[in-house]
Amino acid sequence: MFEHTYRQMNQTIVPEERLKNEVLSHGMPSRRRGRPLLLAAVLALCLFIATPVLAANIPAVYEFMYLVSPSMAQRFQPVQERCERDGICMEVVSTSVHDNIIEVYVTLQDLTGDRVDETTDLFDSYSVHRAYDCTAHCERVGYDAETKTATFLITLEEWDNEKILDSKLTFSVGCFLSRKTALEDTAVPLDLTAAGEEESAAPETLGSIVGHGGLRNGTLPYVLTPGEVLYTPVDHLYITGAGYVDGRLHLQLMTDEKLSLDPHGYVYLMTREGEKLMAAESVGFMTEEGGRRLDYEEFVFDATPEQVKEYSLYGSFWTSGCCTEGPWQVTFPLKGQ
Amino acid sequence: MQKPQCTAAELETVMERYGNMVYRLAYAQTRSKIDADDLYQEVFLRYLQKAPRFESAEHQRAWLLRVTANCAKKHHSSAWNRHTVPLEDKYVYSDPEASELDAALEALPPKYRAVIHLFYYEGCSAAEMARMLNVRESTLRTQLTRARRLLAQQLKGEDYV
Repeated sequence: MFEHTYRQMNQTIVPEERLKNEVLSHGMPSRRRGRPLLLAAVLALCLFIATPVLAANIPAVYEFMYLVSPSMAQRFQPVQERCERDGICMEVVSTSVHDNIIEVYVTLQDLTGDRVDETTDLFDSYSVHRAYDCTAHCERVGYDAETKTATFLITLEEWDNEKILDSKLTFSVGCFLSRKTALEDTAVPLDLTAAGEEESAAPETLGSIVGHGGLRNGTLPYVLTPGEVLYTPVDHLYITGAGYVDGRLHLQLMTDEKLSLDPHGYVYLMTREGEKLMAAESVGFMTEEGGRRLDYEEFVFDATPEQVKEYSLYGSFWTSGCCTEGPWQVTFPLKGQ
Repeated sequence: MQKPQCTAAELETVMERYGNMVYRLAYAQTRSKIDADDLYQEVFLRYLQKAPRFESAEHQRAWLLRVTANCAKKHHSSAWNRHTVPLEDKYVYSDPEASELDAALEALPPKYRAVIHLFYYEGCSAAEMARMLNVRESTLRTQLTRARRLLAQQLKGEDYV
């Protein structure tokens, strides 16, 4: 039964023709990120207009939409369905249905605190329930600091290019991250010239392998045995190792909140002249200590101690400060045009 | 030594034959249409660059599955990608059973999704999967058992997994 359902689900998962054509023309196209021109206009207006145009009230949202594109605003119909839980209000503001496309503006507002901010996204924590099979796409299009409201545009494309008739849609959000911190291309104050050959082990003996990149000959390199925290670039992300294994420089990052706050980052070496040396290989592994999950990522550089003297250590690091659990769910009618 | 070459016509034939297989494994692991698009391109561009020669169609299929699985692992572990992919495209199913299974798969770690896909959809044996995913066969069997158990838990004790 499982196998049958899974097979059925996979039958609809196929690459688009344009993707095949792009590969055949040997091109590497940029990623699709919705409709760039309209989004650029939206973001530009968000920056340009001093008044909070994306507030979670209908007149302001429509005013904003008319500013961007009167014809687009005409297409949208008000919905105003809300779901409130733990002081967070999710509101479906308006929808537009045309051909096989459904567009939905949704706002997320914190009524009691500041858990919704300009960094809030729904990334992989939203779900859509429809009576028909479709592809869903969600992006944040604005944030109003005064009302602590983030606005998202959800686009659904039904398969088979069938025109959408009257029906309904359920949109739900399980949780969301906010208060994100980004520390990009920052100097890391570790003296690599003091690093020596360190104790190492096969990563699979330390924990479960969760990923790797750039492997030579398809084999995992030995990794540093995790040690004390050497440096903490952002909360819950630590450098737990810096040393040489088999004559190559290894740097090890660790996080203890991967599943809740998504701390992550990478490190690289750079000369005074700005020449970067990126890791040649990387290995990710996960361990459990006292019921706590620890995720490690080790970066291996093709650099000997002599070569490392020419470089300083840099990195880019990100984390979130808040994970707010829901769920919030709204079901609303769709009217075909 | 002469550099291996693959013509556009050869590539098109391979894409026609194995394109869906590659794309489905990529989506099974990443759960993102955008990421699956990227992996699909990466796999076939590697094919183009390496122009591998195979003894049989089975070897060719195994090569493509292995490269897809490895690219997906690399993609998943890359902090750069995690940072630069703020959006997500996903398939949504109208059938409640498919929708429930989709949510259960979403909750699985990527390596387990790969194992489930290769076993149930591609019909690979444990030995084949172990070679493709570069793990020991015993490890692979453990992963498959855990993946099934997690899926069964997600599906509220359904015993058909």
